[in-house]
Amino acid sequence: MSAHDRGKLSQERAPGLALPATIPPHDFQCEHTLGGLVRAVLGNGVAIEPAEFHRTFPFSAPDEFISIRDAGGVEHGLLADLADLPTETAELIRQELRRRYFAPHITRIETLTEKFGRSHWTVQTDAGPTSFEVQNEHASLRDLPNGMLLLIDIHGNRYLLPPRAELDGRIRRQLEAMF
Amino acid sequence: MDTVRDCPAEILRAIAAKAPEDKPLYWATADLTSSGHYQDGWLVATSKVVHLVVDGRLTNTVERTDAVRFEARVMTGSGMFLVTGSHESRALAWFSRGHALDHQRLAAVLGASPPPTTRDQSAATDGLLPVQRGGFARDWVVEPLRNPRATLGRLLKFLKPHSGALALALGLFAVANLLTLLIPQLMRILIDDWLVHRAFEPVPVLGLLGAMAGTYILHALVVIGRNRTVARLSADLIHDLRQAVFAALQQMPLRYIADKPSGDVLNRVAVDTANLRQFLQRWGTDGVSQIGLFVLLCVITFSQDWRLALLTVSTMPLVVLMALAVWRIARWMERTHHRLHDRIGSLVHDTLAGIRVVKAFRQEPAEVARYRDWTARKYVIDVRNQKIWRTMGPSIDFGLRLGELFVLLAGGALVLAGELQLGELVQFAAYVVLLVEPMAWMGQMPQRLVEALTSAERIFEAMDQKDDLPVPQNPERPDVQGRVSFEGVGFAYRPGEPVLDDFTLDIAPGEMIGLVGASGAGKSTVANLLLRLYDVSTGRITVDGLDLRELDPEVHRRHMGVVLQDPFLFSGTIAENIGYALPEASRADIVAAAGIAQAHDFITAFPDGYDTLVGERGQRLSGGERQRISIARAVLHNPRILILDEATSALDLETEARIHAALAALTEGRTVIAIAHRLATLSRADRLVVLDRGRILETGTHRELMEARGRYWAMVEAQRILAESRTLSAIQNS
Repeated sequence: MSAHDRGKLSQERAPGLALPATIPPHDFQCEHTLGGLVRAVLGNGVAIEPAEFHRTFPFSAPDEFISIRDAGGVEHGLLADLADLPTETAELIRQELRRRYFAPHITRIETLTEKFGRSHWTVQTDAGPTSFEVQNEHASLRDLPNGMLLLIDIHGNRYLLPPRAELDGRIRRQLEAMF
Repeated sequence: MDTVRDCPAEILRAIAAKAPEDKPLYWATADLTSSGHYQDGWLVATSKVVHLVVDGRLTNTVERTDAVRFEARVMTGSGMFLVTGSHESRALAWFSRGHALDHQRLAAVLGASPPPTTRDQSAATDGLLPVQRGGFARDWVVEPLRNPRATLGRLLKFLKPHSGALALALGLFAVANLLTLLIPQLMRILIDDWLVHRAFEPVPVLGLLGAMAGTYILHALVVIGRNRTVARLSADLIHDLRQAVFAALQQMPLRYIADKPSGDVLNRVAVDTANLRQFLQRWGTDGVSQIGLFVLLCVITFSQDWRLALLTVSTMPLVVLMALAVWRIARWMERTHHRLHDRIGSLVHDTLAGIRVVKAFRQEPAEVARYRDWTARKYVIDVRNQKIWRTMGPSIDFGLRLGELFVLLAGGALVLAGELQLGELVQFAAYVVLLVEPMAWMGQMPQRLVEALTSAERIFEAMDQKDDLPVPQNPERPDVQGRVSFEGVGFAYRPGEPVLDDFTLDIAPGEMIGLVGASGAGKSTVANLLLRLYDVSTGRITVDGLDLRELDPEVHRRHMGVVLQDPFLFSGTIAENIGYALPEASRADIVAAAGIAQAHDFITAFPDGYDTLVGERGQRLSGGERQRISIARAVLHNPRILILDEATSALDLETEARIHAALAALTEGRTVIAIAHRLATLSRADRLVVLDRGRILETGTHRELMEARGRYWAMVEAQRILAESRTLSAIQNS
């Protein structure tokens, strides 16, 4: 998309006039480029490459209100629900989202030790084994709307823990004391 | 166990072996596959190529000359290393969020220049990661783990100035202990020499009783003296510590304070120092004494009858086990209690700070419910905590008393067998009772020590945050003319989220620059960098040709003045607030400054005039009044360089007109950077700079920019249309 188009677009979206536009599912196509990026084509013939997909409600509605943006961060529309799209398209977008919002599910905690305000975790996740350090303060652990727990390590990496009720009692108590 | 690792040497060796003249220069972890799984991957750049190595195998190679651009795209939980060739972009590697900084540096190094010449290369082969080459301010989070022993040592240093009082306290402790030990001794003599023989001679017996009474009285006096000394000592200590922490707070880099929840820094001053005080008072001095008492008692009991002594200690393992079990449970409950306590505290703080919003939206019941939720959680924990203590306390006590029983049982047998004197048994039993206290104490010691050290850690961590903006050894202290140059300035508050990018601007002395742009375009960041609240990530800022980092920050800020959108007034009088930056200002100076700032009239209209108290945050004054007081403050400060950050955005038109008059007087002859949303306020600017996402989009005078019909023109048009429609609707409504 040319600079002129973008200028026009941002002018149309002058303050006070912008209403996020929802893109009808049938007006939307996307595919992988050879370089491993995504090219999206909207109903009005505008092609976006590379296209980026952002969740607007990453925790409360991960599959709804998906924002399509170009490399400059300008929004071109919202997809109301991935479930309305053809399966392959939805799967492609889900994969992009999964990577953008990369936060592996912790399936097993091998060791969890604590020393002077920091905890050391060695875990199994659905993305493979890993280990990391967490600063033990309230902001490092967040209760998500769906009951899952979001853990943020000292480098800003994110991990998901099962809901408190499903955790082993010892781990749950440790979490309560730490965060 | 850190997520930041160095590239394995064998990978670097293998790459070096393949092309001996083309050594690896920079590297970064590529730890994700394209489908979002962990892998052992590395991006390694040499002077000619960029390799992707996965599981030790070379999977991809890009010639640096083929690439137009290298870029690290940082996303919420991950990032992508993007190579743009002449035809299309390609995702070369993916990495988890924690490695964003490495990749951005890698991209910057690769993209900034053509492959380095041979000379650069030799400079770059010092084996350092790009991360270690500096440029970005040190990230406080990634510091290595702290050392508990060093913390303890540092804590003890605070004791040093009070070593006299400390010695006195310890001496009194020792005397009190000895007196405690004396009583059973006197008791034994009384029983064995007199009571058992049913002999009675008034003088020695009454003398013995008198000695006991005297010992008790002396003991009481010594304990009183000891307690007073300890109380004084710990109060002194905590006073020192608070002073040190508060002084350190003032030195703290903004980056550190901005990263923490607002209550956190406050907690460190209040709660953590209180924790330490408690520890030092109740456990620190007491500790030495208890250990001394324990050793003494052991020596005495074992030398008196080692069999009985052994018997006494025999129940100890049971007691220790019970204590340990309780500690394990109690520890998390106590910590949970503290966490919840903090949460509830900040909830109250929040609600009170936003009470107008709460009331305006009638959310009082919701807030009460929220509060109830948290207190209910705390209630559950508290009840459980108390129950455990109330159950386990007596149980442990029972275990200890059991030892006493054993001693009476075995000791009684020995007495009946004639191997032990009755008085000796009584004395022994008394010592056993005394033993209980130090032993129970020693069981709690590790826990208390850990808690105190954690508090100390937190305090010291806060105190250590001051070398963020390095000050040169012999800083320059020039007289400032007011020429300001930004040369290719880049800056990011957080790694991976650049706010300014290649910002270049030359401002002549006395020139007024208007900074225009949408929210988040980086306007206020320009001001923060010029004030040197933060240091630039790349490029440099000069004042009169001297790099800001070479200047004495003290002197630099003396030449800088700021008027903010929502000026902060400290609680105190209006005169104190105007004279804040210049405490030696005379009353005449203050009145003159207020006059220039158009503030004199309304100030003198107050019943208390210049001595009017402004409430906390100046709530008793209107926005325009506060603004004019802050302008008077800036006038009195008389800076060469002035920053107006949205100084008039929150005011009504009439007030704004007054403030414009005040500002016109203030800006006369100074270098000014004015930031504004409302473009009309910038009409007096010599030059306008339009910012967009950290980059300069347009520069020129109002007329030039209007003729160019670019972004500035669009913004002016939009505001004009908005203003017209407002006027129109106002007319229609009237």
